[in-house]
Amino acid sequence: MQTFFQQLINGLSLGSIYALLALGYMIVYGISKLLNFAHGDVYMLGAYWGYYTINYLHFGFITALITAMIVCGLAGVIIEAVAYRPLRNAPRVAALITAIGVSFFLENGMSYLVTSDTRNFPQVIKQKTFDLGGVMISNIQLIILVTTLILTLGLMYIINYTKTGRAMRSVSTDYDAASLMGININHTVSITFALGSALAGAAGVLIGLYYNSIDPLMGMTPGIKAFVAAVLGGIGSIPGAAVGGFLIGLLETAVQAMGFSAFRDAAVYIVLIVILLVLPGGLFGKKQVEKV
Amino acid sequence: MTDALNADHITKVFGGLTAVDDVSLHVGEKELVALIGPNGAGKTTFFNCLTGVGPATTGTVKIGGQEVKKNTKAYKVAQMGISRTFQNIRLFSKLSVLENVLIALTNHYKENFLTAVLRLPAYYKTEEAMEERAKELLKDFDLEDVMYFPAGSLPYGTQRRVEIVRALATEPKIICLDEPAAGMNPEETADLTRLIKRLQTEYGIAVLLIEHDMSLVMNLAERIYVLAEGKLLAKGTPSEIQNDEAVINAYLGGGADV
Repeated sequence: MQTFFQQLINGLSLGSIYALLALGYMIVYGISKLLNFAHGDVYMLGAYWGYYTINYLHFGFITALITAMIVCGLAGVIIEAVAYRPLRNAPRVAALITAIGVSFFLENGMSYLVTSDTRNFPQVIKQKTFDLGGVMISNIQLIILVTTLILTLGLMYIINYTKTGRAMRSVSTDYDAASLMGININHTVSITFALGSALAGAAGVLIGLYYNSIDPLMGMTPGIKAFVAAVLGGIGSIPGAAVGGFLIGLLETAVQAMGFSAFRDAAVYIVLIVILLVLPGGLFGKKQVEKV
Repeated sequence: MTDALNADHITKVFGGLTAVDDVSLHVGEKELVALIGPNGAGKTTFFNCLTGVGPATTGTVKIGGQEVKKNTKAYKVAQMGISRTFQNIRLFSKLSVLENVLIALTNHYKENFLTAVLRLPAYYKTEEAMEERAKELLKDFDLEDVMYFPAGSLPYGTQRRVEIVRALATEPKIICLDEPAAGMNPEETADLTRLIKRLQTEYGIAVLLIEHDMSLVMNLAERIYVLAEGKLLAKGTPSEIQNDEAVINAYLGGGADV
């Protein structure tokens, strides 16, 4: 039982990171119908921002987190404006391939700039561990969970209860109709990329804190897993993406705890295959009914 | 008095096909004008030219006397005072009826970025004012009972009404209605006729109407333009159009050697 709760906590912490990434993936997909493969690399940028600002500018955790979100948000806006906007009316495959290109550009660009060495993320917060009846939980795990919760609720608030969110939802339903109602499409898409990338930036700082090591290719696998999480939760559903992220985190930890560490990535991809076969709409997704 | 809409020598070419060929049309202030023509005559294409969705190849459009410059984005054109509904309803179907209207109101309740980010009282004031205005409009058109329902869940006729109210909420000088009576039963059409009339009389908005339902057109329109194969075939008052030989031929297919 103790092991179970211990793994539950570990799984939720890791799942938080996936949830943050999946949320960003999902809102960007929702509005531009683009699988932004560079999303995981924005998360890497966030981690490096945290690394440099904490090491050299002596930022505290909160400052590093907030500035990482701002910088990554800007990065997202620039990526969208430079790489995706010119292709908005092009076939979807063109944008998809561009996204892969942007991803390579960021990975290799960073490898060139900061070398591809794995670095130790500075321990800006001293790790303390609390013993809850045999279950160990660290202050870092708590910080990750709480930050994720706050950001997720914040995102839901923006999308459901603000004018900007309303505009985002209208654009994601119908570009043309929204622009004919006087909504500035470019502006709305930029804001969406900024929000999604800011979440990725936050996740980057958090993972640095949790796993303690960062490298320029660190965004690749989590990016794909976040995509799996979004599919699992149901593309288009915000709570779905968050829940999907947590489930993927739990699954990975469970597989690891059972002694199959080597198979933890495979387990995630098996989930993707099963979901696509059995429940293509995801857990919270709407059933697509084809009207004839 | 400036016209609500002036379209001069509009031509739209798709590859080798001239879908709209040198069509000029104007709609006066608070005037109700219909655009009719057989299927494929280019009516909807012409609408797209006016609203900036598919800009005209050549020709100029003026909204309220103000010229729409080339390459103006559709949302800017909308802000100049033109609004439209679609042949196939295009509401934001997952959003509530109220939200659909609120989106259309957005442009008239600008607030600065700072008040929005910091949630200053001014922000809540504009939000409140917007919601009040939206509810007022919905009440005016008997939609208050359904305002929290997702727009896509409503019956067809009601969705049409929501779409017109949404178009009205952008506070345009002119509303373009693309086949509003399509698929409606006679009773719904009668309701719609009254609704369109109200746009003109109560709200003082000019209306340009594409419609196949002749009873609706003849009841409402002050002037009628007839389009056939992309060209302007005739224009005039309803009684003039009803007796125009070219129009009768185009509609009844009597153009062949009779």
